[in-house]
Amino acid sequence: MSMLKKALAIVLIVILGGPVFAIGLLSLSPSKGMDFFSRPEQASFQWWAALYVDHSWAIAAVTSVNIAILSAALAMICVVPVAVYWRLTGARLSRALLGLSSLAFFVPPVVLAIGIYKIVLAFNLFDTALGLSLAHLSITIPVVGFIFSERLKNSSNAGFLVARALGASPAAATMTWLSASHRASLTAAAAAAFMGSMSEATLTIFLSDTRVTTIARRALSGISQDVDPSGYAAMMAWVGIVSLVYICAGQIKYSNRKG
Amino acid sequence: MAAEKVGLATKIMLSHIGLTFATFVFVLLPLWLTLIGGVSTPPRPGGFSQGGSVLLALVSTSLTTSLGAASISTSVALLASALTLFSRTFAGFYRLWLTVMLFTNPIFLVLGFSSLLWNVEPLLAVTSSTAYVVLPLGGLIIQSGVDQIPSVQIKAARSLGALPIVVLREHVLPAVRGQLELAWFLMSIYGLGFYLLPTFVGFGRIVTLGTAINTVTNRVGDWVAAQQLASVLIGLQIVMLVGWQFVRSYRAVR
Repeated sequence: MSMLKKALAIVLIVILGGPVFAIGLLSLSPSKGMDFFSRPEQASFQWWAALYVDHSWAIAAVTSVNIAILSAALAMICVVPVAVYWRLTGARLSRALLGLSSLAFFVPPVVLAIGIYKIVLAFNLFDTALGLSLAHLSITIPVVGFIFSERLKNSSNAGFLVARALGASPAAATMTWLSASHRASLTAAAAAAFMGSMSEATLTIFLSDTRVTTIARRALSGISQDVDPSGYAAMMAWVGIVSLVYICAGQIKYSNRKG
Repeated sequence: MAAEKVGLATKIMLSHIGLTFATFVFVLLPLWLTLIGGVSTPPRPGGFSQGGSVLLALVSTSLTTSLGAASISTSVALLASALTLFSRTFAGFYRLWLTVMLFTNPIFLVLGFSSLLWNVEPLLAVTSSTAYVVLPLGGLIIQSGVDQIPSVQIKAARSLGALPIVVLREHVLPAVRGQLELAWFLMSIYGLGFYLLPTFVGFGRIVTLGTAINTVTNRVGDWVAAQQLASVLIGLQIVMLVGWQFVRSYRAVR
C-alpha cells in the first residue's frame, strides 16, 4: 500500500474510531466527572466497577433485552409468513403490505412517538414493558421486512418446488425450503430486529417514565440529571459485546464455508 | 388434505391481518393522529402564530444540520468504501465499525459527543456528530454498491497504470452513483428529525424541529404545538422526497 493510501486509511480510522476511543479513555477517568487522565497510571476502573455495582444498569439491561425479544419475535411472526407468501405466489397485496409496513423507516421517530404516545395512553400501556415492546414494532417490522424480503427476492424457490414435487404438503414444503435455504437470513433478520429494538432511544424516552427503565432511559438519566461517567463504561461494554458477536458470527460463517 | 389446506389458508390470512393491524396501529394511526392533530387545530401562541420567522429559522437549522451531515457522511463513506478495495485490513475494520455503530444506542454516542465537542461551535458540533450517527446507514448502502464492483476490474485498471484517484473517479464513482444518491437522500431525511444530538451536543443553543417538538412536548406539555411542528417536519420530508423523485425522473428523461 502506498504512503498516500496508508495516510488516508489512518485519517479515516481516526475519524471513525476516534470518538469511540475517546469515550473508552473517558470511561477510565479517575475523577468524578468527565475528565481525561494525563498519565496512564492515573487510569481508574471506578466507572466500570460502578457499572457492575449499580443494579439500575443490570435491571435496565434485562428490561431492554425482554422488550427487544418480544418485539423481534412479534415482528418475525407478522412479517415472515407474508414475505414467504409473496415470494411463492407473487401476490401484489402482500408486496404492497410489506412496502407499507416499511413506511415507518422514513418517518422521524419523534413524529411517530407523538402518535404512539396517544395510542399507548388510551390503552393504559404508558410506562409498561408491553407498551414499549409493541411500540418498537414500528422499528422491528421494517427491519425484518427489509432484510428478509430482500434476501427472498434474490433467492430461488427451487427447494420449495422440489419438495412439493416429492409429495410434501405446502406447509411442509415451505418449512423444508426455509430451513434449508433461509436459516441464515431468518437469523439475520431476527438479530437485526433485536438489536434495532435494543438501540432504539426516541420512542423509549417518550413512552417510558420511572416504572420501566431501559438502557436508553438509564443512559439519558445519566446525562440529564447528573454527570455519570459509568455511561461511558456502559457504551464501551456494549461496543465490545457487539464487536465480539460480529467477529464470532464471521468466524462461524467462515468455518462453515471452509467445512 | 382439504383440512390442511384450510388450516394453511387461515394461517396465511392471520399473518396478513397481523401485519396489517401492526402497520395500522403503529405506523399509519400514529402518523394520522400527529398530522390531523397538527393541521386541523387553530394555531396557538407558541405554535405557528409566533410568526413565520421562527418556523423558518427552525426549518433552516434542521435542513442545515441534516443536509450538512448527509454530505459529510457521504464523502467519508465513499472514501472509506473505496479504500476497502485496496486494503483488506482497513476493509475488516470498516465493516466491523459499520455493524457496531449501526446498533449502538445513539444516547451512548450523545454522551460521548457532549463531552468531546463541548467547546466546538454548536452548529458544527451538532452537524459533525449527526454525520457520525447517520454514517453507518449510508456507509452500508455505499459499501453494498462497492462490493458489487468486480475486483478484476480494479486490478486491471491498476495494472494498466491507473492511479487510485483515477480508479475512484473512473470506476468506483460511476458504479456507486445510485447508492451514493440514495445514501445521501436517506441520511438527510433520517437526520432531519434528530433531537438528542442538538439538545445535548448543542447544549440547547441549536434549535431544530426535532428539539422544538421535544421541548414543547416534554417540558411545556403543549401537544398541539408539537403536532403542528411534526406536521411541518413531515411536510418537509415529503417536499424532499418529491424533489428527489423529480430530479431522478428528469435525469432519466434526459
